[in-house]
Amino acid sequence: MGAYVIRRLLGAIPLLLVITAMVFSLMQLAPGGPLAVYGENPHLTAADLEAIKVAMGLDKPPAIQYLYWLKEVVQLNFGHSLFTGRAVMEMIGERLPATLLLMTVAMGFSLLVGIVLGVISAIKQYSKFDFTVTTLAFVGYSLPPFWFGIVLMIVFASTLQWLPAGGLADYGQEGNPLNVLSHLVLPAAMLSILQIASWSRYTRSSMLEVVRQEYIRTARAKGLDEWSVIVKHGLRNGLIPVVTVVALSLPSLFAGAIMTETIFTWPGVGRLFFDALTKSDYPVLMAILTISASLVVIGNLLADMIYALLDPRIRLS
Amino acid sequence: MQTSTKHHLVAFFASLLLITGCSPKGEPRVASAPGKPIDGGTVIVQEQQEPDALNKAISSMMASTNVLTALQGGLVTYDDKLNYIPDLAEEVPTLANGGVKVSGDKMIVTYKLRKGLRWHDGHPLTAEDVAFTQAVYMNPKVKVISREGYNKVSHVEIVDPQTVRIHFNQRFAPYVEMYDKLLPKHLLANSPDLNKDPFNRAPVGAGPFKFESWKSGDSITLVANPDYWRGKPKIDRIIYKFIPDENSAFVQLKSGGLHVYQHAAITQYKALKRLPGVTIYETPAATYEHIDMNLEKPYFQDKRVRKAIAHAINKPEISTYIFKGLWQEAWSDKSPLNYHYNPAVENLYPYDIELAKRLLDEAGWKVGSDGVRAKDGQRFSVKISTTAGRKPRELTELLVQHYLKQVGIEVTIDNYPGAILFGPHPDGHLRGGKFDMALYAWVSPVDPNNLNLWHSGSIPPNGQNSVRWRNPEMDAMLEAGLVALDREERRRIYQRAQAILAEDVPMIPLLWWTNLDVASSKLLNFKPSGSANGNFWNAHEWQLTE
Repeated sequence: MGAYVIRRLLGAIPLLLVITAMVFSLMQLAPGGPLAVYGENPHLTAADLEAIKVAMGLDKPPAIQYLYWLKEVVQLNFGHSLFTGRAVMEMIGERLPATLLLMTVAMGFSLLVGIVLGVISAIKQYSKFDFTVTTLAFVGYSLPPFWFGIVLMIVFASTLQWLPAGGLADYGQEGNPLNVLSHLVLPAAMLSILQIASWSRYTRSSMLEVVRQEYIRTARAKGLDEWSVIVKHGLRNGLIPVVTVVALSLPSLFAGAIMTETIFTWPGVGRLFFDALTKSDYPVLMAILTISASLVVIGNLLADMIYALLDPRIRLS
Repeated sequence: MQTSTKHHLVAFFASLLLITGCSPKGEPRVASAPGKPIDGGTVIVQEQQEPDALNKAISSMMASTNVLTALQGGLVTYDDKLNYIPDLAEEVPTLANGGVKVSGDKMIVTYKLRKGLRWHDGHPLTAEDVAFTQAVYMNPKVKVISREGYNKVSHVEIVDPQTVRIHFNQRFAPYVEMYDKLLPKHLLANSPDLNKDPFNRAPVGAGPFKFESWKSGDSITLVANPDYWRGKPKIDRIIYKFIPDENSAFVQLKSGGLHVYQHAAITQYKALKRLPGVTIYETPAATYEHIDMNLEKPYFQDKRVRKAIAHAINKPEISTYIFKGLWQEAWSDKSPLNYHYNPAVENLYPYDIELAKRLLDEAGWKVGSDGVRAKDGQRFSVKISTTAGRKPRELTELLVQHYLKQVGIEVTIDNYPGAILFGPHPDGHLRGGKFDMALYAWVSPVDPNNLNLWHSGSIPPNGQNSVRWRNPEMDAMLEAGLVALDREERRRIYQRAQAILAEDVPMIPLLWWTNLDVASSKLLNFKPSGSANGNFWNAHEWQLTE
């Protein structure tokens, strides 16, 4: 198992190199670039622009810029932002706690609710409960998240005034968990609704397949109680496809959710990425994209390892 | 046309009076009687963007300006009526008061600093800091946004700790705009790289408010400076909250989490008017939407064509349909707020379809069988470009398309994201000269110098003359305006320049923005400015009520 993991991780290095080189070239090819933000300044002259270009290191050919970037990455350092001049790792580090908090809460909640709803729907197929959950899932899945977030805000923050409209905490209340929690509810709800909808559907269809299997009939025939049949024998197998989907969501734990963070002014990595994107702040973009790509690789590996845990017939070698 | 505009304005004023019961345009509508003024308190302000660096030398963002205006301090600043006022300097140096001396081509400007000035960390602020600021602006390693003026200084002479003489190697009329944000020598002189210095994230200034904290993605907090030269500000704290989304800003204002919502969306105007406890400030801004015509394209080389297009566009209708009638017709590149504004250029191109058609006929563009004009086998079919995703501009384009169809010009829409539209030469759509017509905005600066915008020597890549306008008389005016130090002489020069611009029409001014700033009625002395110095120029005077 250990050797397998190391082999997989080593194998990911060339893959990541190719990915980063591609992302870097695509960014360079995109018209505009980091100097465009200065274009609306009526006083900007060619000489000033050229000086900024040199100071940002953008006068060098893209291939050289990429090698410089790579040199920094090997030292586990992603360079400095073109605009703030700060270390990129520091900028991401400040945003990460907020993103992790929002994403783990939203994901944990959605997993729990999504799987439970999916399992019950599958067991009670075509019941009133199943129809209700199915209908709600389709409604949830079709809701435009942006609109839904604003509706949540209007109802709970503006009209009822039960919850704050945005931010991580009130001024001076950053250390108060209850204050943070009250700020967390709306953005987490906005994110969860979509994920619950999709994960309950995955769980339902996967469980439906499992409960028709012969080993389930055997388990029932052995006289096992329904709980053991469903949870021990059914769910364990039914979860395998769900694991794949969830493991691929791993990068979003890090990268955050741009729309939710924007509407609820949540100070996470998603907004950092979006701001960097609008300005073509290459070092920040490259860092977030590279870390996300690495997490996809790790997520895949984790999924494979969880398969082995869930299904003893799968052997990793 | 003139009368209809007047009617329009009269109706507008009348409706305002009805709503407010008093107050002419520009004055706030107070929703409820303010309570007793109090000392202290925190004012929370919405800021749409997060600053990149709190250092005006290297940041081009309005968000940075807004924070630094309350924090940094400079020699001279200006108020909401665009008058220069001395800040850390005792007076604004001019020819008249002897602060500016000219000998031949050279110019010397003398600044006297106020007595007893201190940086927020207690270190004395002296002439050394002015000289240091000059050195930073001319340091080639620092990614300074604009070195304009600083690059015309031969040396800075420190006469005594309170007196500094700036020696210019040529006459430079906009000198007063320089050194508007001073940098502390004692903190930055040994910085290995000013672009990356931690100072840019936790600056030390000499303004009314001191830096307290910057929470990434969330807010910047400033606290009152008890040693401010005008005295301690009335409020204790300003929090700039970064709220990118307009709907969020509205809800946060409504639920009491915000005192100031800056530059509200015009689509929220009605809803904002219904909010209790807030005051809407409608401020005429020094920013104008305009249509550029690329003079290198064959369609626009004849002046009569450009005039025809100017006559074919119904500006008041655009304001009514898209901007609730709040935005005012623009005729010049200079704001009516500026002392050098030329009212004689107003109404030179009233909406007149028939006149537009006649001018196009005269220019040889005849209507073809498909209703589109053509000349020498070329159809008058052009593209108009603007920043994709900016709804008001996209709607304006549709109206322009409709107006020009009336006179036989086919317009297709060809929009790009800001990064491409405003991108550098040669790839940028404007700089690279790839556009036919373009719709966007310029800010009319307080100082009238705009050589970089209209001089033939400023055609990209050298400057921002994207319309590629070459007019020798205009060039001469712009050169003269740059070195004319007498206020009246400058007014004459730039009034003439506005007349030349109006006669040549390389671009059509459309509408002046009206900023909608909304503030809690508990905030007193909030005086938004429509110019580039923003809403914080008098933050030291702000006060809260019970």
